[in-house]
Amino acid sequence: MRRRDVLKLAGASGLGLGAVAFAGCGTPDREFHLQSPVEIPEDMVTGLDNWYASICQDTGDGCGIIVRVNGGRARKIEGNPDYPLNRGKSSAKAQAALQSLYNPDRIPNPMVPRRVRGSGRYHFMRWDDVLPEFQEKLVAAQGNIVMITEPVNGHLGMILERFTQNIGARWLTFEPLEQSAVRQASQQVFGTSRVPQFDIANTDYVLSIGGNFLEGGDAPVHYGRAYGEFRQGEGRTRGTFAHFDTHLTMTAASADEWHPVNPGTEGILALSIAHAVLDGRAVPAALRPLTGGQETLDAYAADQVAAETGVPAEVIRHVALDFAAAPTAVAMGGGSAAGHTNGLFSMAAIFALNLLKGNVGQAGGVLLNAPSPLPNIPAEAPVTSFQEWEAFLSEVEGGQVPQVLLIHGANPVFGLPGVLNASDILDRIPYIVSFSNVLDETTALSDLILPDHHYLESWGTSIPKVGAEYATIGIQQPVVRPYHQEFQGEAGSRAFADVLLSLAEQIGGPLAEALPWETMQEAIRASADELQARGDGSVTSEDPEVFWMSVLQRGGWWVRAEGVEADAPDLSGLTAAEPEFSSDASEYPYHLVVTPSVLLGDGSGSFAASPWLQSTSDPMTTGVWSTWIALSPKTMAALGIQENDIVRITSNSGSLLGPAYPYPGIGEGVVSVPLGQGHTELGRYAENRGENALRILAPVVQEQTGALAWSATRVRIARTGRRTRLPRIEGITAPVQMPDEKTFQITNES
Amino acid sequence: MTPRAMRLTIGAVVVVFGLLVIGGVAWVSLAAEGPEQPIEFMHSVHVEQNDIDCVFCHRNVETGAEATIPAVEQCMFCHNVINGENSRVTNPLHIAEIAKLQAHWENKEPIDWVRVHVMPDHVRFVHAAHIKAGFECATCHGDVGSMERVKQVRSLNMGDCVSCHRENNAPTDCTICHR
Repeated sequence: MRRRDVLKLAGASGLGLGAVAFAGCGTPDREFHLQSPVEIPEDMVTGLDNWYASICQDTGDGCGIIVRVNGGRARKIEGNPDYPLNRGKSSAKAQAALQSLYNPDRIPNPMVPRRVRGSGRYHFMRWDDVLPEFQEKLVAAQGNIVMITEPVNGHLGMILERFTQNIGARWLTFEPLEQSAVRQASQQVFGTSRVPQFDIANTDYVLSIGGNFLEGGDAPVHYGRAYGEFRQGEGRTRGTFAHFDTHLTMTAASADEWHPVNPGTEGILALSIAHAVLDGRAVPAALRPLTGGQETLDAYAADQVAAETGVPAEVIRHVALDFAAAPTAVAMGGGSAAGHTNGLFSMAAIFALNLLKGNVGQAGGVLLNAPSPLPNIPAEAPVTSFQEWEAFLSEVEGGQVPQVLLIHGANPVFGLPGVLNASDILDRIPYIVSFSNVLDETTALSDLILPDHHYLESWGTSIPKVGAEYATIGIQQPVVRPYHQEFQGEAGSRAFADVLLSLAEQIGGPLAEALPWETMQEAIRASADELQARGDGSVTSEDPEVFWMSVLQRGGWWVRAEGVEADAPDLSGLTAAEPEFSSDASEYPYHLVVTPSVLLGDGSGSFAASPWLQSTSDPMTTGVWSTWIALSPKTMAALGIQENDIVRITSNSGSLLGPAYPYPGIGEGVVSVPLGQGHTELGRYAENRGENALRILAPVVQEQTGALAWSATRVRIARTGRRTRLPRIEGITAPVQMPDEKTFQITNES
Repeated sequence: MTPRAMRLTIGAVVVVFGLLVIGGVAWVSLAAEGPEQPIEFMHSVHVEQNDIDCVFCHRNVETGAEATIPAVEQCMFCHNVINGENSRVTNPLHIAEIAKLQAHWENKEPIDWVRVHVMPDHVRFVHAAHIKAGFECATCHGDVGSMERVKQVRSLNMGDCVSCHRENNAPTDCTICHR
């Protein structure tokens, strides 16, 4: 008999007072359970830690991780010290995956909505009861199916490609802050659409225009580590870093010099730097398309563009001089600069600085990524452009409604501009199936939810987006048993890929032939056997079983890449262009710069559902749990706005509210709003918190790439007369000073 | 205070006091035996009658923090043979309980035991250290070998730990247990 039982007795005896008063104290009930596992697990001893290697699949960069497992539960995630991409480093987002694994709002079972779709209330179902009907509808709709996923490579990318091709489905992938301009510029300048590795670890000078590579982009953890080498690596002199951006991001704050640049003029700035680098020499023939065929860049002389770009002429000249004089230097770009209507030109102009420096393929320059080590496994994730999304939605609106919509890992209802009305249009599709294990905004529309395992519970692979040294394939293995598993009446979750593979087997025909594996594990094992047969790389063994075990232990397999040769640049069609904006400056005077949060990303994943990430301070403003509107103090003074005043920013496509935050590191004409919040679904920690700035973006399209020009939205700002307090750490109380106390300074003098 | 309020107050006090008495009595009387378990596992049968060493089942006790309870598979190493079909097992209670174990094994269902000894999360107790220092399991757990249903015999609260550490000249730094 324990105290708990006494309290139960007290409760049962009619007066629950005692029970209510004391139920919160003492050892929680669950601590009184002790489980005898069925089989003796070879690698599990209660009280002892095990570390397993895997891949972080929800942060987009695919870092190698090691996970501490104790008593069958994942307890801690760290970077895998062996993995070439991140060599032991990890990110807050990667570490917080434990909270998506054990999130109380995870969907435990297959669900169907009660009565009508979108009622917000669900019945739990069993897999065997829902799968036959699902399969029937899928077969009946062959040729008229749409599959929406996140951009995905590796084995899942291969399976999705084969599945959609053979079942006659259209495959759309969704990338909220579309990077097509960066990829296409890379294609034209470097001859590869896989944006290359900028070797900052070994360079002397980094010139970055718009690319906030330390907190976002393709591989923030990789670049964070390389940045450490660049600044304080052993046996080298500290590198110099100049950064231009519309506002002071975390990356900008790390630079030796940061200069604000007017939105949309980044490419012109790059040409001006090129002009100063060339110092009177003729423009190389390959770069002439950028200048409209001119032999010189005189039109872009520093004095000519200073006013337009907002960067003083002497700054342009000295940065160009430093760039040209440094033994090795590299020019990077991206971020909001790529989100303008002239984003493709801007990126190409920035990347072309590397051609002037002649650093492609050189250490400390631009290194082309190693190819996929497996010929049939794609390294690149296909991305559906915004223009195609618009076309798809208008087709559906116009009556060409697909019969079945399948969704996995993407949240277009949240991420597409609000004026596209994606929610109402997708709602016309008669049968929507979501494989999400959290109830996000798109999943809320579905007729059937078949929850996927968490990535820590399932199989997969990843080919890093960035990595020149090694051709790498990272293997994601289950490190714990599924938290919601099929057991004792619980239907549990099932791995998305395994559901697709078993469907393929059931449906048969060419689909089954294209996907001959029963499970994802089997597919990966088949590839591992191919790698074993090569007999080189990070793991070698005569015995396939030993090879497989060693690969899992290391977290993947990699082999030194041969130097990849770049194609000749082809800059045709990339003439300098002025940026165009959503609306007129007289009506909407400010530029809206949406900023992916280093903690919550762009809001498309489930990061906002993690209390750890929500309560970690934004590195620049220290804000937590909310959305703020960062304004220049001068703008605030001009508009009569005080800190913490709730202001409304309005574009021609919508408006949002938030507390004003005075941010000296921002140009006068620019408003910056962090992304990641503003969810109407996604569980208790994310719902109804802050605002989603993606919603008010104007649907301006980059003509050459078809991408959304997500930096092209102009807004106006209005006071609402209401006030609130932005939750943050900095500036809440005055710093402690003790003017009347003596200060003791500790010195070496005796 | 109105007479009515006074009566209500006295009534409430009497009821609460009465409940505390009932609760206390129940606690003391029921604490005499340990909690009910999903399978009526008898340590007395295994240890006293069949002379099996504690470490035979709690196999991690000499090497790790936790003594660990055996997996169902480990029980089945013996109970594959020692079960109702074996003519030497005659006690119908034993046969019924072994059948429950077999069912768990056949259905691949883990057994959810009720924990008897629980340390709070902020305490790190390492079994191995105490066994290596020469203590018997019974020092803390009592004569489990003779118990039909395991119960806690020592308070095992902080005072208990500290006084035993003092008696045996073991360190009493906070961080020995709280770390």
